[in-house]
Amino acid sequence: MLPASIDPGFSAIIAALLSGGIIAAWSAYRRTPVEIEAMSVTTLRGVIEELRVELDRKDEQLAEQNRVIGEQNARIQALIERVDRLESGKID
Amino acid sequence: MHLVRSHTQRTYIASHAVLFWLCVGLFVAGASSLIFPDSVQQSSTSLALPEWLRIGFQVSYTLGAAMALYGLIRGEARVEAAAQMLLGSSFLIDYAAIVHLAPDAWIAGLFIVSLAIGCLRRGVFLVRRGYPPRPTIEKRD
Repeated sequence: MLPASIDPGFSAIIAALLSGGIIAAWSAYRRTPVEIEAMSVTTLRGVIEELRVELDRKDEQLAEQNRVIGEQNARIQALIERVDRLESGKID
Repeated sequence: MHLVRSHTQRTYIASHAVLFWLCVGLFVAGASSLIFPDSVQQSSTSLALPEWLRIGFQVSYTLGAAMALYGLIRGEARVEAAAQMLLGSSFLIDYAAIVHLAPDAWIAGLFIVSLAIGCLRRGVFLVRRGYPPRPTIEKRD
């Protein structure tokens, strides 16, 4: 004889497991490798967009690294000039 | 002109055909039980489930089958991988619910477990490898 319905606790566990299944499905979607030849136009556009975002991010990182290098270069240049002036006796 | 198919090509075509028709069956069953709930005969175990849970299972089966069909037809490995993981987990949870409601039905329900294992294995395979390259079929005059 079957019960009229399952208890709320078990229902909650099943709901949580179903949510886990959806998360597993999403994770599988993200992790599955796709051959370029097998991609649809929509997927290709998505991949291009992802690559564009990644490129922008790397561009920003490079700009930041360039700024830091530029600052360090300016400091080194100032130190070299100071050493030159010290050596030539222009300053004490 | 006739097509020359190797053993690999035949296996590839046969496995995809079986998978395709299984998904069609699951989609039709899920969609009809969703659209015509009173016309489709449901098992006593299914009827013992709360309404929201029964609809949840029907939606996940229908959606999973539709996604798997879309992936198979359009060659979208990512969509099919997601569908197989969704279907596999739904089958497993369905089995857990069945055993919880009717502990004597655990042997009969093992069929559902085999379906779940099949779906999850296919999902893991797709996550690791993606779609294998389609074997080219040689044409001879």
